[in-house]
Amino acid sequence: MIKAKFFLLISLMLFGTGNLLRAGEETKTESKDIIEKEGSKDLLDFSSIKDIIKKDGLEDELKKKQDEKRKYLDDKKLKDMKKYNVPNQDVFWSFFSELWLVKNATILKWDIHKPDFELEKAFTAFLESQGLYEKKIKILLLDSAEIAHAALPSNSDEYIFILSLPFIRTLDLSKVEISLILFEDFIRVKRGYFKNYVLDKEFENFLGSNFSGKQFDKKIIDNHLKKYNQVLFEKGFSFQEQFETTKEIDVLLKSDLKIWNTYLTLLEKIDTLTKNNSLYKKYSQIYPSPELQLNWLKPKNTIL
Amino acid sequence: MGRILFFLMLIFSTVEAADVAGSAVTSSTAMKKTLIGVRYFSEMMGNVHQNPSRYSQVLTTISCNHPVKVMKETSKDGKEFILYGEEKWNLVTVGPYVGYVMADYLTDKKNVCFEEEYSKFFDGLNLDINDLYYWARLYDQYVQGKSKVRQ
Repeated sequence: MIKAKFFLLISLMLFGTGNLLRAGEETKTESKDIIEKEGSKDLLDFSSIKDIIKKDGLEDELKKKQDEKRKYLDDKKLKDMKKYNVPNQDVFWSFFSELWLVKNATILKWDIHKPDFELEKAFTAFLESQGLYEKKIKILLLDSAEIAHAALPSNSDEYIFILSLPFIRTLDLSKVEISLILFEDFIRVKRGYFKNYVLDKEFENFLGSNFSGKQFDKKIIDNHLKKYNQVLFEKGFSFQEQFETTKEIDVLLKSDLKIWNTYLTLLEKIDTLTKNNSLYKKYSQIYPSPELQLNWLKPKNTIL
Repeated sequence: MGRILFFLMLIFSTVEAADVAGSAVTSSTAMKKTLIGVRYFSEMMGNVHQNPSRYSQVLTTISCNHPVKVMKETSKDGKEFILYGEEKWNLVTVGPYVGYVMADYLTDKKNVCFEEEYSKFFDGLNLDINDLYYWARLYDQYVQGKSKVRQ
């Protein structure tokens, strides 16, 4: 009896499983048919809606996005390239002169504690009296007699002066006399003598260029910093340059005879110093020469 | 022995009282600091000084476009102090430091800085820490002026 029941149960189970498998296969076939049908529908639909997509402006949108991406990449490339720009002359000179001051800080001895002479006030007042307005000045006092005074090349909106404390102390100069010395330097730097000496063809081409993809040429910087030393420590200015400077000052100061006489007295003081004090022997080599300047300034004695 | 102990306690209590009195004086003279706004350093390099003087101790060195918080001080009687000294210094907070920077070197808006504009050129110069120190000192040492606008 038990055996009969067992066989009945087994046969029922087999029958059920067979039905289930058949039903599964049928479902698979049906879904396959649906997918095939839908796939064919998709293909058909795509070609039919192509014109609609065009009308929707999706292709234009894609083009716009691609253009935007290209522009972004171009801008980025340009921005990266700009990092390799060498400054042009408009912004270079003040930086370069300061670099020279920094590199020569120990020789020039400008990092010192010094009294406040208010030279900037005296000199700006002097410039105003000469009708020179809105001139930005920077004065750096040196505790060294290596350089007596000079104006360094700078950007067009400012002037950088260096002035030796021992020099002004030895000559016991007044603020007006100091202003006259700085004014002489102001005229020289305005005439561009210093800048023209430093700026050769190679350096001119280097400034404002771009070194992207190339090695940075530090040698060119070092070599041209040395040119500052040549001007300020060895070579100085030419007779012609000095003559032109003196003559321009002569014309500018003549309207105020008091100032003009002060300038003459100042040159006499410097002339005496350079002839008698060995510490300032080099002065006439850099600024040739106080004696000649006096001759250029003094009116000629005409014999009637 | 008891007298000695009493004497020592008396000394300590006197010293302590003096300290308390001292701190009271300090707090009475201390001024209220208020933030005015953020300014940007405009030169290549510069120093934040302990006092409003170019020769005062350097607390820290900052470079172009470094933001600083400018403060004003108000005394108990209501007086406000923004500029200090003849050279006009601002009281500033830079990171953990509270010190002074020349007001002429601070601007309201960000500046066009040489070392940012020409970053690779600037890097190529290989300036060492000594150079940067002197560059900051240079702006302490300059005496600057500008002739006036034509009247």
